[in-house]
Amino acid sequence: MQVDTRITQSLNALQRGLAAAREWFLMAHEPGNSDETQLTLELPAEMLGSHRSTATLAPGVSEDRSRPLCLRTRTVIVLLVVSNVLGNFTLSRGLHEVGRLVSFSPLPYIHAFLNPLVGVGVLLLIVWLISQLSLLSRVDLSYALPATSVSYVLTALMAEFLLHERLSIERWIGIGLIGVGVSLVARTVPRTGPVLHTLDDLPCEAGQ
Amino acid sequence: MKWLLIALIVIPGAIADLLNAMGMKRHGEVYDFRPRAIIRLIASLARNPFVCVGVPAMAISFFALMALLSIAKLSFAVPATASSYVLETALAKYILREHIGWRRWLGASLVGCGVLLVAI
Repeated sequence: MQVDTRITQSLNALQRGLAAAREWFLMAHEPGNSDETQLTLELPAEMLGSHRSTATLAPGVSEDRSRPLCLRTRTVIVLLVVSNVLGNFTLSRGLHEVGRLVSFSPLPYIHAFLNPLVGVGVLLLIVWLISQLSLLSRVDLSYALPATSVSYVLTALMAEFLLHERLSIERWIGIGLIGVGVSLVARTVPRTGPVLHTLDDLPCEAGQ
Repeated sequence: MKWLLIALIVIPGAIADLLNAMGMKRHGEVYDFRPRAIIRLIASLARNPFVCVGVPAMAISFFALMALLSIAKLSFAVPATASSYVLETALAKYILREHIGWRRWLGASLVGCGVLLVAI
């Protein structure tokens, strides 16, 4: 049945997404795997170490949660790319299930959200929005844009391996060009614009 | 209709990225990703005028993308935004005052070309 294969494909995609998320989480807790020096916005050591601030803890909050979950810039980029690709993928599949959707009235869109694949896609795109905003808070826009274009490569590779659409030679060349472009931009200093804060007087807590 | 939707993806998308970059630079760097910290971050961003305009512009771009995805294939819809790479790099140089050397120009152009090729 066609529906069955669709469901297994979506489940496979979700499984990969979860595996990537687990990897991301493990990476976030591993302080010492910096083989790339280009991404210089690494965290100061005391942010990654066990940072105990029990004095400010409300009663009942376990000590483990007092540790800020600090992510490196590279990790934020991985999270952004993965959530973008999986979000676009699930949305696309969900919307093809829903059918034509070109309207200036909001009702068909609300109806589309009731489809579970669309719902998952929207959740993933919320993750994408938050990681995009936090990435922009740290690096230049002109640095963030090419870094996020890895999502096109992942989308094309997913079309090849999950949807079994054959990739043409032009597409492979395109993927190669994107790779070269991204690695060129990765060799620049991430942040060049006017700096409002220095790294030293930043609290690890966001939103203050 | 497809091309109108692409204009609705690219133009609000560029405006959204610019405003979000300005707003987030003003907000300060985000390091904490615990759920509570993210909720605090959202509460703080709700009072940030740049982000308050940028995110709705992003939403316009997003809904245009959704609409396009429902009438066109993913392989047509997603790379349609290829032109925004060079456009937004130029905007970042002249409006955000970022220093863009030859590596970034070449990188952005290569990425734009690559995305165009992937779109074929």
